[in-house]
Amino acid sequence: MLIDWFTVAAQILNFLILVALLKKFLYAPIMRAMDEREAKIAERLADARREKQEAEREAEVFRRKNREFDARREQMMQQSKAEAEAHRKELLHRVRSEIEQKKRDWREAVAREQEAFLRDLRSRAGENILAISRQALKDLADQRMERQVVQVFLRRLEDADSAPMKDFDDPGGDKQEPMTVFSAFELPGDLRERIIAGVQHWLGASVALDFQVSRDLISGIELRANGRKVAWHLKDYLDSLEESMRSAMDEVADFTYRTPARE
Amino acid sequence: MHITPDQIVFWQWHWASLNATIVVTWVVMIAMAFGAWLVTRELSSGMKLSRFQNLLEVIVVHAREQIRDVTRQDPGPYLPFIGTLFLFIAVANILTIVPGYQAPTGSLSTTAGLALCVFLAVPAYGIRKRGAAGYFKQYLKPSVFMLPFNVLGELSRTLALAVRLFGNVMSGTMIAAILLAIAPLIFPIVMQVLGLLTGLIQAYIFAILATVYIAAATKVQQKREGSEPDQQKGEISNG
Repeated sequence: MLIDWFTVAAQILNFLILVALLKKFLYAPIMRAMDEREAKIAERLADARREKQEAEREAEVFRRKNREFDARREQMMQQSKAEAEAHRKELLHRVRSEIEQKKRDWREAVAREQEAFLRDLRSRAGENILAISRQALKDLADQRMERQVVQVFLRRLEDADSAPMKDFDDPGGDKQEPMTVFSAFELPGDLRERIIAGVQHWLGASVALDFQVSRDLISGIELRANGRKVAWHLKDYLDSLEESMRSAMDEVADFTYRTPARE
Repeated sequence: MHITPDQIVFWQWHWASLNATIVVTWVVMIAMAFGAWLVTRELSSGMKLSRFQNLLEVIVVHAREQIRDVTRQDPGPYLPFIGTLFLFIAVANILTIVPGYQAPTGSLSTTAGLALCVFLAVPAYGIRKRGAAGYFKQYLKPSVFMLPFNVLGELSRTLALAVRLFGNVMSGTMIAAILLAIAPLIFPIVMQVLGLLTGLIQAYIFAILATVYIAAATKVQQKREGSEPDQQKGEISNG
């Protein structure tokens, strides 16, 4: 008989004991350790997930901050660009106006200088012309011319009849202060007589005339009495010439001064 | 030359005998329990673990996977019983490489005991899972007339479990012994290696059949309860 029933029972008991022993020393601890490890791994994974989420959130925060920073920087750049542009325009405008002002000042200065130069030139030219005329007339003046001058003077004396007559009448009437006749040259006796006759004829009364020589006259005759005078001489022409030249120069100066401003 | 280690008797008192089967079983039990205690007294639940802990974890994990694959249930309640069946038979068979060792699984008494354990564990698990009425009702399916056949099938598969394991291990030992007498050099080693392989396969077959029986008993929705385990048994036996 191959089966010994006592042995069978013993082996059943042995096996049940072995089951209990292995359950206590093998399966339970191993399973516990594995469960713990799994729990730890799960916890670590959860931690990792949490940390990853945290990191992603932080990354998102940083990205947002970056975007905001970029936007702000862009805005500031734009603002500073606009400010710089405005400043540039203002500067440009200021510089332009300054340049404009300088240009205007310069033109005015140029115009002034031009005017001054022209005025100077004209006055010099006029003086020169006058001097030349004076010199020429002086050079030409002689006895014959004196006669012509006296004749012209007497004709003028006849023409000047109304107002000056009254003016001379009173002082002439007094006959206290002699009338003075100025001439450029010493008048010869016959010319003096003609003048005296002319004046007496003009005034209709006898008068005493005092004859004097005045080099200023250049060429001509002048009758003075009590601050009044009747005269003909070249100096008058020259004076009126000078006067007309001066007024002409003023007109030209006005024109040259105004011309650049109009541009 | 003994067919079974039962015949090596160390101590006899009336019908109770202390034979080699029991003694070697004790030795194997002590070795397994002590080894497990040695490894598991300092278990690590961290990422770094010892070599032996890793080995035991691999064994336990694969045992659970096999049980889950077969039963399609939580392997927790079945692991101690089925895992111990496999480990005991495997260790007992592997130790045959030790000279003078008599495998307790080479004793029909041991295999009968283990088969009786399976025979009792199947209704135990079935009743716990489905209740007594639910479990015993399956013997009346598909009809009442099938009851004797179902009971016979229950008994015969238990007998087959016991005899299969005994026959394989015993024959392996016998062949090794006979070859040792015929060709003492080298050839017995090949047979020993073959014996190791056969021992492991038998351990696996015994455990997986027990799992199949238990799974059949504990499945809530069964279509062909009697035939399915027998069919699988047949396939594995033929394999």
